[in-house]
Amino acid sequence: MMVNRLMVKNWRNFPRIDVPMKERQFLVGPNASGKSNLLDVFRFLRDIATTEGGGLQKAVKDRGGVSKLRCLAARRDPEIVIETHLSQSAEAEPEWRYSIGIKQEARGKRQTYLTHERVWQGEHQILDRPDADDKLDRDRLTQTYLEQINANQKFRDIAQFFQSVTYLHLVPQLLRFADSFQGTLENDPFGQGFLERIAKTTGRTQSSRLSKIEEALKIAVPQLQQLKFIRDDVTGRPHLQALYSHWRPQAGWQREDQFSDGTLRLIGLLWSLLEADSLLLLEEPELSLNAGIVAELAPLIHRMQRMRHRQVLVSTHSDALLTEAGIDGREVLVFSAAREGTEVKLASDFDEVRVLLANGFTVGEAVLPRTKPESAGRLGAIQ
Amino acid sequence: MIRDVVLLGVEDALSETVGKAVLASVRMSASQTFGFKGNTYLRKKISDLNKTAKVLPVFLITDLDSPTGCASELIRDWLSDPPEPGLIFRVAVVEIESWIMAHRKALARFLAVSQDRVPRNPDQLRNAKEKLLTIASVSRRRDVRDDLLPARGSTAKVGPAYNSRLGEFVRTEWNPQSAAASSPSLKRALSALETFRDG
Ligand SMILES: Nc1ncnc2c1ncn2[C@@H]1O[C@H](COP(=O)(O)OP(=O)(O)O)[C@@H](O)[C@H]1O
Ligand SMILES: [Mg+2]
Repeated sequence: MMVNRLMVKNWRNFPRIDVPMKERQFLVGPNASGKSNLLDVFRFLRDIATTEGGGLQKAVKDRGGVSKLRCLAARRDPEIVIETHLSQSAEAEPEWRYSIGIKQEARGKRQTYLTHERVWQGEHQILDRPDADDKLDRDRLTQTYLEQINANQKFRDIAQFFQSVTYLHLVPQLLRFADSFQGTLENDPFGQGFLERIAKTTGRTQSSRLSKIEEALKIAVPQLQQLKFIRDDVTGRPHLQALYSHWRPQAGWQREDQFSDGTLRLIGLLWSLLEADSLLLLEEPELSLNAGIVAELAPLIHRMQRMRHRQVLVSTHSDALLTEAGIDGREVLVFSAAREGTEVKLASDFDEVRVLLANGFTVGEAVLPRTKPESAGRLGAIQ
Repeated sequence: MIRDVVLLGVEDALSETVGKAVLASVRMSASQTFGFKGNTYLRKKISDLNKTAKVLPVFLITDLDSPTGCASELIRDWLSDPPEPGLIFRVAVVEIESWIMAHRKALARFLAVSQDRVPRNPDQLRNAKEKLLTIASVSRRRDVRDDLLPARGSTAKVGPAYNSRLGEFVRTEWNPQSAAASSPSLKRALSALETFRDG
């Protein structure tokens, strides 16, 4: 399943968003234009839906409360709304629609509560809160049905979809020094638990994924010959090992703490693409990768998607990533500053971009100049 | 076709700033910019840009670079097809710095040098960038010299904040109409834009 439309109102720096989404969707925009904030919509839904978590209340609290989430530009209307449409493919009619509205009580305990929670299956609305029970007991509106196993039977698919959203912002330093961390952060956003995740994957699945990754690394990393997963004899901890051709056969094995940043990021990226078929959020995958490799990420994602239908949202600043001629203008969301907050549109919604794309220009050429801060070079002029 | 909003194609960020100022001075604007990878890149893309100009006006600024070259031949050299009416291809003779220098009074003030130092006919210089650096080297202001001039022994042709400091000048002080009085190639660019705008 995938998200084929996202609508939000008053979420962080977005007064409103209403965009369709493809299997592969690139998010481009200047710094602080809200790319991470958009990805956070899906992490937020995941946090609500995660059964062992604290549901809506915790998801909001972890983000500093409604006052932090609500768009500052929204003066009169204090309600946050998130609506997503889920379908089997980008073109298909939505199988599910899920919508919530959130507010904070103006007085008293200033609790976070739902203004609505609605679910449609196909054309039929199967949930419409506040319902009669909610009206009798307003405290019920502090929890979504999505987070309650007893209440979400009829739309368990949605709950499971959101639960399995994965966010990848692999920070090589954290992975490298995973041993020195006490446990890992919740949901492992930065990849410290990455090696554990590989370790938990069993037998054939593990080796087939690793051999695909090895194949890619042999192309991307000079002299890398082999990639192996091992457990340390003494500590029992999981490790990755790579053999480089310029060393003596037995001495040439290196562990992940010696891999380059780029190698680690590529491994994390490839593993994530192969790992599941749920929504994957990739934060700036180009970081510390060589431009030549970055240029291959877009087709790589596409080909991996053929094996696992994993929808991927990719935030990026990279010209190289967007030089691929096969990127469709509808696969690119452009973030631009508007009078109040940020506006998000498809690249193909801009007349100029459409004309350029139709005349042989790549998305990188046609779109990225729009995301350059107005009059670049000013930064260098600061005294 | 909308005639006062164009796609601006440039070699680098400094030409972008100049291009935007030039457009603004004739009450036009850029909906989008393109290029930033030097002259060879624009040249490579010229035929696609020409096709684009059928639907969307394109204002392209490039440097003549060679003082012996001829601006009107340059386009024929670049483009095998006939140029579309929407392609406004303008060549800065001899470099974008010529256009910048052409506003003599403002530049002299900005660089803190006497106005006599700034040439009267910048289009006739063989190397405008070099000339601008020579002028900057006698600046009374240390920060100007420090930003614009390469350090001794440096392999760079210009100083560490050359583009951004000149960009600041273009944004804040430079007036294309005043500059056009000393630069015929800029004057032609302005009138080409006006002619196009008025259709
Ligand atoms: N509630 C809010 N209302 C308005 N703006 C917000 C809100 N919360 C965060 N922001 C703004 O969002 C920006 C950060 O966006 P972010 O997603 O990190 O950008 P990017 O990932 O594109 O660099 C900051 O400028 C911050 O001020
Ligand atoms: Mg970000």
